[in-house]
Amino acid sequence: MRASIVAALTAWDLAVLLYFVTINTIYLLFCVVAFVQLRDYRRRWTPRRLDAVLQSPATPGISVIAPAYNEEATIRESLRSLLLLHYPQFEVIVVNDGSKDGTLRELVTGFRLLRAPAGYDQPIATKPVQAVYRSLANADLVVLDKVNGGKADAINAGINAARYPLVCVIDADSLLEDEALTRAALPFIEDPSTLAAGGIIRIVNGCTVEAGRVTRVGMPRSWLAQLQAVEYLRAFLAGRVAQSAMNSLLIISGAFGIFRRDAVVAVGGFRHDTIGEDMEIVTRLHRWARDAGRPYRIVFQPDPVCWTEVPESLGILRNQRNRWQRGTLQVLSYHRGMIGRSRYGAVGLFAMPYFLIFEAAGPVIELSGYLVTIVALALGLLDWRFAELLFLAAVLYGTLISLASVLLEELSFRRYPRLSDLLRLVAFGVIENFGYRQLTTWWRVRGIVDFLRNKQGWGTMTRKGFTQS
Amino acid sequence: MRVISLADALRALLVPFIAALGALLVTLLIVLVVQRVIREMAWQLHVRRRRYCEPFVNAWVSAPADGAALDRLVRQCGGARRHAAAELLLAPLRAIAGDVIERSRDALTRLGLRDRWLERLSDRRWWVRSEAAQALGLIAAPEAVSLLAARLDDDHEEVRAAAIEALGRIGDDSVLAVLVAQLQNPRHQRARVVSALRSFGPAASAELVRWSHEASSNRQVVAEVLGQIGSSAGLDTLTGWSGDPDPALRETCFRAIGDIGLDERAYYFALRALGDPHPAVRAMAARALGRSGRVDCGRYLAARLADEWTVAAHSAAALKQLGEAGLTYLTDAVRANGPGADLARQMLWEIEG
Repeated sequence: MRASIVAALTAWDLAVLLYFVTINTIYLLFCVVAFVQLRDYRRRWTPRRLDAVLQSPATPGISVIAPAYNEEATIRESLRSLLLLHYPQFEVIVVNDGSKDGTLRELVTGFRLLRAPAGYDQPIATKPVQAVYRSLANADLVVLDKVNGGKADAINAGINAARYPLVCVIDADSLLEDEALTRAALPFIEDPSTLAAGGIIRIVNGCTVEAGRVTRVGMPRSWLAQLQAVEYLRAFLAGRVAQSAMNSLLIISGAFGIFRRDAVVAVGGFRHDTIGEDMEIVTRLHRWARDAGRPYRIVFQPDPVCWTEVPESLGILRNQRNRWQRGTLQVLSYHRGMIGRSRYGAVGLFAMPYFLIFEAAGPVIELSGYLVTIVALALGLLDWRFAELLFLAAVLYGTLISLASVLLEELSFRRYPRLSDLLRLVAFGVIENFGYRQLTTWWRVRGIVDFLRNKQGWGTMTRKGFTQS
Repeated sequence: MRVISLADALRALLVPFIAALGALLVTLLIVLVVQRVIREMAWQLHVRRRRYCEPFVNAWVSAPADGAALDRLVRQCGGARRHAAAELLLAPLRAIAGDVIERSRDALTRLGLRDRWLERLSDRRWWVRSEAAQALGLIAAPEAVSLLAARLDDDHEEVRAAAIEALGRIGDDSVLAVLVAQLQNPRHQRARVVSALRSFGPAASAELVRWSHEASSNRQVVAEVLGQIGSSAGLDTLTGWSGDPDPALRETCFRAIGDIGLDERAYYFALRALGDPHPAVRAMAARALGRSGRVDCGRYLAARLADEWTVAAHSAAALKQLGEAGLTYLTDAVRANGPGADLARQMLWEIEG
């Protein structure tokens, strides 16, 4: 009996061990691919070529859509920053999604808006738009006030009102850099088959923001935000750059992404019934294009920067991770027919299985590995060499991957100017593997449980506002 | 047993792999950290030099002109310290004008930096060219004008921007024509060129008008810029173009007239434009009339509340600007129905609020 239990535990631990070795090796390969891609990107997109884009009559107009729900703390600053973007032809559509606070009042008084008649087609069904506001001073600013229907519904309302061929979806509480639109529009100019492009999300906590612009980049002060800074570097600079290189990108962050309006309208807009609407729309675009047999690209651009505030309290971060996990599971469940199917190319054969094993089931595997090892060691049922190996594969190898991601940043964009920032990134790259990662794994397991219990809802995110950042 | 041997095999692979990977990454990290440390030390040294030079720079710039103070500054802050001195001399020039510019220029010329910057305008590194252009602009070095004008066509955006800004600061009329021509060059941010032109005063308006005669396609941009510069010297030209067959030009003219402010002639042109067949022109005429502050245009604006939304919105906003007289018309308009009444209500709400 004991021998069978020991054999079962050992076999499970070995499986977990192989899981950790595989995921970390995939990430190491991501880092290598990303290093090459980032170097090429920086060589290719010189200021001269960017200028050419700005001059080109083929540069497509962009409608920037900013859904806002209870954003009174940051809406003025964010909108001011949006209106100052450097791009030849763009409009900003703020969609007030039935905010309960003073978001609409802030917009109307801050930008001297006037109620205007709505006169456009509505190809995507949304909750009713109660009013359209326009600015006399700036014809490229439109505010839609609509009945609350969730973020996806607000985005769809914005897409309906958009008058340009590209729509840029951002979070109203995020800040875009001056050239973000130009850089994000590059793939569409370079290759007209591009359906969507996403930019990098960086953490604004700890940065100085003046007049809607990040004027000094700095590491956040709170431990939690610093840990997330490393996570974001790993996810964006390593993960998404490499996935984009394989045309198997499944997520374009809801905080900043550009889409072809006609493609989004053709697939029916953003889905309301998911909390992972950013991942869902990208997956659906892949599916739509592959089913139709049309050549396409969905890409990640590492340079157009969108600055966003991340949670600094455990409760809010827990809710966010829980939500992300539920969103991932929802999307995988909606599009399970794509998993492992060769007709969906790299998406069906690599990205979807990767998400299924490492993102959806990963937390359960990881947590069970930690728990089984601790309990079995305590009961003397497991060889200590297994625990040592697990530590090597999960924690040490993981730490090296975090370090590689930080180095990737240092070798490419070097956005953190101070030495102390670099050292803190390295330190938190190490620290995150001793407790934080396990904690997020636990939150994600809770997300899986909530998904299975069909729990809905977004949770809350309290904003400090940029001036305090 | 087989599982244990598998684990041992994995360990035999994993341990050296992680050790090698760790060694590689840590080495790379050390190299990058050392690089940063060297940069940081260089910066600290620069800060110390700046602190050393500060009293000498203040003695020359703040006190009454004293040749001995300049000599001391040049003697004590020459050689390796001159860049620290340059930074101290240049910093206040971004915000202030007057003879301090001349004094800074003298000091920097004696320190050999002006000639160095002139040379560096042709450096192969863009940031060096950009810094040189900025510095030459701040000390308003007239010798740099032709070299800066050549940099308007630089490959790098930062250098072009610095060159435009510098030419604006120097304010040499000989480059006005070159600067004005940049308005049609999409490689330059229009706002930057306009900002540089503004520093030339009425001469810029005259040059803009002259340039508009070169090609009729320049008129649109000239009308826009005249409004942005805000010089009344452009009013005659704008009113002249307000009868142009191109509605976009007429619209821009009235926008600009509104920004500059209306004289008697422009006022009557704006009143007449309230009957223009194009709504955008009527809207801009209403906006301009609102800015005139003349109560006698109230009834014409009130009549436009029944017009298309853009015209009605601008007319309502204009009535609000007219004060008491406008208030009367807005109160009357509330009694009607339609978008004009909604807009009037909103204006009254804004006035009360």
